[in-house]
Amino acid sequence: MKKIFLLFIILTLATFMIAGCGGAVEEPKENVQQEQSEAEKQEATPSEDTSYPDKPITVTISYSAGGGTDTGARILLPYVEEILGVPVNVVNRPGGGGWVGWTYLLNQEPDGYTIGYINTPNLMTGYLNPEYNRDKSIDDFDLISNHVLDYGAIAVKADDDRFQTIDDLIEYAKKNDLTATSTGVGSDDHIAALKVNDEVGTKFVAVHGKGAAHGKAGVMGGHIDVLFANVGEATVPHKNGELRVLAVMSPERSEFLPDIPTLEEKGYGKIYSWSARGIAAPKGIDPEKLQVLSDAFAKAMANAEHIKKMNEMGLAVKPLIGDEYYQFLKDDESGVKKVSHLMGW
Amino acid sequence: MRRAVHQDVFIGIVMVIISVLLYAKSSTMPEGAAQFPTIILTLFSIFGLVITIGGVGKTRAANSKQAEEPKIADSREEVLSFSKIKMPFVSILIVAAYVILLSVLGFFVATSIFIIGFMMFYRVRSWKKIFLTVFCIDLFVYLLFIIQLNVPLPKGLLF
Amino acid sequence: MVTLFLINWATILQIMEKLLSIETILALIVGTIGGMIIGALPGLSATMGVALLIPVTFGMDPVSGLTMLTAIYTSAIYGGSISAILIHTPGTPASAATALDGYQMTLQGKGMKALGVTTISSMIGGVISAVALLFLAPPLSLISLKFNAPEYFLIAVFGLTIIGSLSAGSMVKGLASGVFGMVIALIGVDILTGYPRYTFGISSLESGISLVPAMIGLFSLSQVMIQVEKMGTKSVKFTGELKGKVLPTMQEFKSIFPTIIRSSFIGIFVGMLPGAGGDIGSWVGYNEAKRFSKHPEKFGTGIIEGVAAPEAANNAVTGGALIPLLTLGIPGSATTAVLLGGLFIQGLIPGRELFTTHANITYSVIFGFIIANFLMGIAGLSAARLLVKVTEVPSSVLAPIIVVFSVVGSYAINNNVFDIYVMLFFGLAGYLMRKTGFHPAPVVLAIILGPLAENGFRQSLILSRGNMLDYFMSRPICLILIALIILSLFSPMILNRFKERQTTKAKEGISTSS
Repeated sequence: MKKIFLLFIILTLATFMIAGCGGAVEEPKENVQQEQSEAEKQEATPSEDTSYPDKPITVTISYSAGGGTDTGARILLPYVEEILGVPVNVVNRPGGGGWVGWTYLLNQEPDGYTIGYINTPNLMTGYLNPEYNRDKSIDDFDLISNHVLDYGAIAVKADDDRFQTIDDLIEYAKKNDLTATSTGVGSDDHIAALKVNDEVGTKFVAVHGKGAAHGKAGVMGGHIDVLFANVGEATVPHKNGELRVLAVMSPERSEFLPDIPTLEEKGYGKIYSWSARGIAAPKGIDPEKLQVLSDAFAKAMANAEHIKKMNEMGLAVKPLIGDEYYQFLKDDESGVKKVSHLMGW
Repeated sequence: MRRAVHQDVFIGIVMVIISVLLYAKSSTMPEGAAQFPTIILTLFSIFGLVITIGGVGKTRAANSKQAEEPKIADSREEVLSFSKIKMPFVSILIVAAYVILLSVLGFFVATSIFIIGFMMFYRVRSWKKIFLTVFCIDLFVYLLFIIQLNVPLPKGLLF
Repeated sequence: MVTLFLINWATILQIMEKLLSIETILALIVGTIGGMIIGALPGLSATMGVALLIPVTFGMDPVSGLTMLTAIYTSAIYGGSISAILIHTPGTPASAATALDGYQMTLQGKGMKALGVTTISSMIGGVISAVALLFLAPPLSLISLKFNAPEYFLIAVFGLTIIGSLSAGSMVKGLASGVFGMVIALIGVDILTGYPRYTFGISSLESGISLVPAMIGLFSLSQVMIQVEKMGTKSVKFTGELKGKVLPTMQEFKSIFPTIIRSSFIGIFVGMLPGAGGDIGSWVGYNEAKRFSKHPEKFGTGIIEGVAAPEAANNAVTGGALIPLLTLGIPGSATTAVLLGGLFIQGLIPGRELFTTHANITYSVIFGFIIANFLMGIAGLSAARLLVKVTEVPSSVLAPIIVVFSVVGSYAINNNVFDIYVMLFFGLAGYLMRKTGFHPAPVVLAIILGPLAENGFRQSLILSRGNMLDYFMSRPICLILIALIILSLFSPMILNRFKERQTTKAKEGISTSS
């Protein structure tokens, strides 16, 4: 009896200890919160009937903590919190290529207190691939705003003498098989390689791996020939001289890689590839609440500090709201459908 | 007294059945995806057969050498009997009930009920001890998970 | 090499200044002790601990924030072994190997000694890896790039050869347990074709069976069930009597020292490979200790080498895994993948800049990491006497506590109720397996290594453009690994024959072989 008691004392003491110390460390954060509440007072709602939001909002993220989506969200959400004046909490629900989280999100009440990140093209490939038997689509979401738009990039190892320019690479790849990185079947990187194969007649063979790090290590180590990735992933190794980006797959040059041509300007046609992530709510949310959220996110995304932090990570902020965002996702969907035969669906 | 068939026979047969069922499912898979499962399942069924045969051997040995001293096969291996596994099975049923309750009553209520139930099942008669345990676990989990780490716990329909 | 020249006195002074701030010291203590607690609780792994505390580091200075995260990383890996040893409940997947000998020691009443050995081995492993990180990060990161699909395939095969030696009882059942683990690992979306294998339409199965819930079920819940069996016999405890000291004697320390050093290097090496983390490192460390041991048959019965080996290795993985992370931005383990997010949030981009422009931050964090390892050792040794009291709690109280934490841990890993059912299933399976001569350890090992083997093999098939054999033969590291595998498969036979010849005259009756 005495001994059990001792154990509990140890455990509770230990908890209090970290609770106490953690609190001390978190002190600066509390100050921020105070400032937030002051900011909230200043923004005290002029329209009286809109009490929304008056309790914490949960943002589901369909990928693990510390991943790209998660990090980007955690950079943005404090600014949203500041504007909305209620806590905005992140809950990670990884698994099923993102669909564990999205299925959960779609099953929540559309009361505006549970919203989540949606990622393209994983969202589309998840419901377009008939193997998965999913009866959901973009139309099951009410869209709040896009956040990040990361275009595709093609890179080789920095000391790969075979390819100085994108033309060298494509000429070679028309005649020979070249291995290309991919973050999985139906990932944006995979779709990008398929699009190039389809349009130009190259013979890139995708080597599917887990995550962008796998591909980067493969190309840097000289095991895989070509890196198909996103600008956000390729910029830093390009600047460090570990990789050489040959082209980007966007309508315009990337602000992070102004010297790198697009495939389009090199005359290979309109081959665009991107992964985008934004915030959505389950269908049926009150339009006024949706408006509150869209406004808050738009304002937070315009914050210069937020943009600077995102740019440091090599991520371009691209706010899109309302119909524009919907149209953007629909385009994405038809882009995936166009290459679906290449994936064997 | 005739001894029953050795448990290994059943284990082996179950392994073979599982392999065959899963093997059948792999026929609809794309070629690349099916390759590795077929190898693994073949191995699994071979092991199933070997264990079955070994089990048959053990059954025979047990039946013939009934009078002799029981064979010391393996210290980790025991012959399962209903009386021996009854209580552990009851315990896992209690845990299963707890897990189901979690999605109805939410974490703290379900956990409290579970601890009381499990300790009573363990024939703890001191209510003081039981409530102290309930209180301390709930407090600990609350402080660590809710207050400190901000980890969401299973929510129920009611709480 | 480059790094050596960069450390001059001015930097060292700056580093000291940064490390001696109140905030950093506090962060170190919180990280170390918090990490130990998080690690010791089943289900709250090192990865989760780091992920959960990243938001806290938002408002902190980069040095204190990152030092706290690395301190959590190393001490959570260590903390996981405490519960593995005392109550057969590995707190993190990296501690599963420690449970084998550690729990046996506890049963024999040597729990205190096991904790002491664990603490010392973990500390030494962690410090050696941190020193490697400090001095050798750039050259080692180049080596880690030499590994790709074919090498990962061979490493997985090499790892799987351990299964044969893990099975203390029937070899057939040990191997069958391993194959069972491989069958479990088949579940989920096949990376190379995108086909959902054996998911039966359940989304939660698409990313496969999560390792943590499966492991908690196989080890912890099954342990609870075994305890329940003994219910009714008076004063039921999880373990035997307590005796002995925390610190190993000088002689004992000398006997495990080579093991610790060997395991530390294995750990650094496994850690710096992007495809392998602490869960694999500890097994390899354990197996190599067994292979080099003069008395391999005693492994699994509760000997200190069996505790020291996986422990030094899994903590050495931490420093090793930071090497490619900091130099190349390629995480060496699941936890460092999360740490990458922590770096980004502080505006630190991995790569050369970390060692030039941001050198004082980077080196301060590495020094902080070394201190964290020592702190962990001191905290562990002084708490051992207290911690070991857990084993004196009657199982009527301990059993429900373990169940509650198993449930919380399984849920918290993915915030998914489905994982609790996975845990339940594996609890039952683990219990039945342990009762019928199978063993849960090969299952866990195979769940980790199965996908590594499969994907490595199939990716090599693409990379080699159909010409596998030539491709493997053209890669020197592959040849070394193949030689190691052959050696590992046949060395027990050769050694046995050698030993039999030596001991024929001394032996008379039944040996361990059955």
